[in-house]
Amino acid sequence: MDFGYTAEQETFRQDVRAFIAENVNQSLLDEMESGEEGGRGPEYRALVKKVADLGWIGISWPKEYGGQSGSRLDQYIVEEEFMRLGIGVGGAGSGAPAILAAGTEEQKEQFIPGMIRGEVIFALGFTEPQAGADLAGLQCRAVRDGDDFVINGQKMYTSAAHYATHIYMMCRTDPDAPRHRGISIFLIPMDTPGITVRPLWTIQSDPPAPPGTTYGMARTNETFFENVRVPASCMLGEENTGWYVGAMGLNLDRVGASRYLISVRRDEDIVNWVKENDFGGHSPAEDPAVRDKLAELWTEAQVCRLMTMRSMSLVERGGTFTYEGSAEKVWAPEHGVHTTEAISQMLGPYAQLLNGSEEAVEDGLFAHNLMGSFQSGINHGSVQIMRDQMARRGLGMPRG
Amino acid sequence: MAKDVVCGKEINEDQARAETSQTMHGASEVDPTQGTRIFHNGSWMYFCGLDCRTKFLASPDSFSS
Amino acid sequence: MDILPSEEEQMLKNGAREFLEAEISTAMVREMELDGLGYPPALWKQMADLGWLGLALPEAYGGQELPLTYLGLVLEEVGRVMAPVPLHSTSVAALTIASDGTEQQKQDMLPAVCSGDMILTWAVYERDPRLIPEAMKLQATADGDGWVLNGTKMFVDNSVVAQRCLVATRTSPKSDANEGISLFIVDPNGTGVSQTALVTLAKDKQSRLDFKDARIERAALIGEVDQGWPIVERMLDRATALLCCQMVGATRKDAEMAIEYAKNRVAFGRPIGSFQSVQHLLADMILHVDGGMMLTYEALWKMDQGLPASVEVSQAKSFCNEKCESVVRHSQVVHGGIGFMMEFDLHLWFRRVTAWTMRLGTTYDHRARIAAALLDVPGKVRLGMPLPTAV
Repeated sequence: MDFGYTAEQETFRQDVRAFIAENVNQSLLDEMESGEEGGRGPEYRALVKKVADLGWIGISWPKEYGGQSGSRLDQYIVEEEFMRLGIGVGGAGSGAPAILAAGTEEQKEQFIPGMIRGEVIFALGFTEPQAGADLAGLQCRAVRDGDDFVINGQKMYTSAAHYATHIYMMCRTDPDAPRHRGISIFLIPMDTPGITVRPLWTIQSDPPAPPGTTYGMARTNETFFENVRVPASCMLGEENTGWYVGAMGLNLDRVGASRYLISVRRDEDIVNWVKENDFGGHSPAEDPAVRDKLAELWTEAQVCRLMTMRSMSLVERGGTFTYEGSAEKVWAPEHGVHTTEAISQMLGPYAQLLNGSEEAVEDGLFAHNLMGSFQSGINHGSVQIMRDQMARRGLGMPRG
Repeated sequence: MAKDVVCGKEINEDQARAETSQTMHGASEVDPTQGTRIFHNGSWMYFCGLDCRTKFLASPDSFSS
Repeated sequence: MDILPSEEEQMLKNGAREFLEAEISTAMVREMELDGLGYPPALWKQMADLGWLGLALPEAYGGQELPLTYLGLVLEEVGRVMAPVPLHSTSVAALTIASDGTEQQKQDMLPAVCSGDMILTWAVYERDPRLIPEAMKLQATADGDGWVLNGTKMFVDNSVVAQRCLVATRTSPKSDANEGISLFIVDPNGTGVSQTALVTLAKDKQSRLDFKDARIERAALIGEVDQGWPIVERMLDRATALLCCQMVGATRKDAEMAIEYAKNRVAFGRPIGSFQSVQHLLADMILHVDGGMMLTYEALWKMDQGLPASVEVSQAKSFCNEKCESVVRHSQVVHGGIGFMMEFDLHLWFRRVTAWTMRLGTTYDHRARIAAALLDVPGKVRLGMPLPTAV
């Protein structure tokens, strides 16, 4: 058991922090907050390019595709430092692990170096109006026509669709096969004719949430596919194995800093806030109930961190997950909710003030977080689905 | 014109489908206030918004199109 | 950073499990509840031969000088089978002798501990059960070259079989220089000490120790006069983290029994483990045991590195107190009425885990300590990084 970082890793973390101190400024954060171009405007793109030039994106990905063939833990350090400012940089959650595992040589060369430079951005097209938690019930059809496939259907919550270059989507390719065995994954350019994006504004859109808010995104989308014709070479992995390719990719993508940091940053924020602030002379930091709760939440947050470290340790050892990934995905989002709701009771009426209001605490961060924290227990597999998986795959419980 | 089978409202399909702008990388973008749709049994059905579409999806058979 | 057990750690843990599961049955656990000594001496000797009694003690005194995490792994297995042996109390006291005792004290005690010939314990609790210097009232009065002890210690483990007990006493009122606490080595069965057995939830051997003019010599002092509190604190931190290991081991076994039961028990025509309400309960039980385990080993690891670990210890204990309790209660719930029956073994674990949540710091005590570290020292906190320290 080793709970510490090596001297090299500590030095690397200092390097990343120094880079952030020098390169992340208020105008970048303002650009991200404005939501223009999905928060990925020119300043963001310039930052990504600089980080990529340093070799800090996709560190654990193979050298031949632009990575460093390095340690997943180093990549995690980059992700963690940037994620603390609400900036998704580093490689996690990108869809790359599935492409590296199941893609053809051409696909890896086509996508991975571009993903590292920030030139290829995937929207995820999994969920449909009738298939959310029960993803295997998806109905979007891809029908073979010679060397092509023709796609009809729609995808929900394609959050990156308005700034993505491509969509990474699951379609039904064999309607007669058992549900899980008739699905394939396609990697499709967004400018393919027949793709239509309808904006969906979230409950975080008005007023916009301050940067760093858990699920503070103002916009997601639904995306329609109407006779979208793509060559068969867009398929990722073998035909009708998409369910398994996607599940594996999701599991690997889930590992990393973002899931955990999204759920624990408010713990740091509230402790640091109550230490330095008061309401008209009354300091919540002196209230015994507040103190007890903060200590409880801090401890829960440590468990979030340790669950992430356990997953990272497993990945670094090349092991496979039984229930550890699902456990992380139950604990962290629920913890985020505990903290956010407790904060609202610590701040009382101040916790209702939104971004832009007079008297708002931290630009309404905690108030906006109330609308987003539960969201991380819903998407990419709800906490209920995760508990099902823990019980069935991890503990061997029989199906109902 | 199409009809929202849940609330009965008339939906202008052309407006619901009309490209009002493009995404950063070239997909067609529509005006969300003009209604939404779903690909159902091989054809597109139109709705005034997510509320009606959600009701429809909960029990498609109870709404005659 | 690799928080999973290494191959060597896993081997030690597997070895301990194999031995303990072969040697210790619930029948023995029940027998020892009624036994005057509370432990089987032959088994204790076997554990000495395996090297477990000196696992984390210095090689120079017959130990193996392995990290505390290793001792923690053995205690986790001890907890798993509820082994009725005085390993926790002996290790806690022996580790304090090893870190803070005099050369003579080490020579007198540590080899005897390693060979299984000396059982130890510690006495800090008094009637005010807070583990803080203010609660230390037992008076040690200087008398010639030694001291005379008067007062009461509570909840002392295994004192009936211990040859030596480390006793926290008050030698002076608190001053700016120190807390006025001194730590002594006392024979709990010697003159001037009387023991009264307590009847406990875990049916273990705990006593009240009443000291009446109990005389001790100069050589019995650990550290300096009046300056014993930091030594006591370190002893309590180690004791707490090691108790968490036992809790985690016992709780995981308890959860595993619920998992097995849920797979096999049929209701409404199917195994109750196929019901999602039961499945989610079981999933939470594993989340909670895992969380307690990781917090515990991080605390032990930090101690092994010589890093500050009191916040980590408090995190582990406050979490284990609440979550282990919840797990063993849920296990009772999954088992239904049968778990309420004396002849069914499940309650053996329930009783012990529950009792351990009450010892070495309540949830509130430990959270107060965490809150003080988070809130009362200036500077920003960041999870996963050392907390600001007072200058």
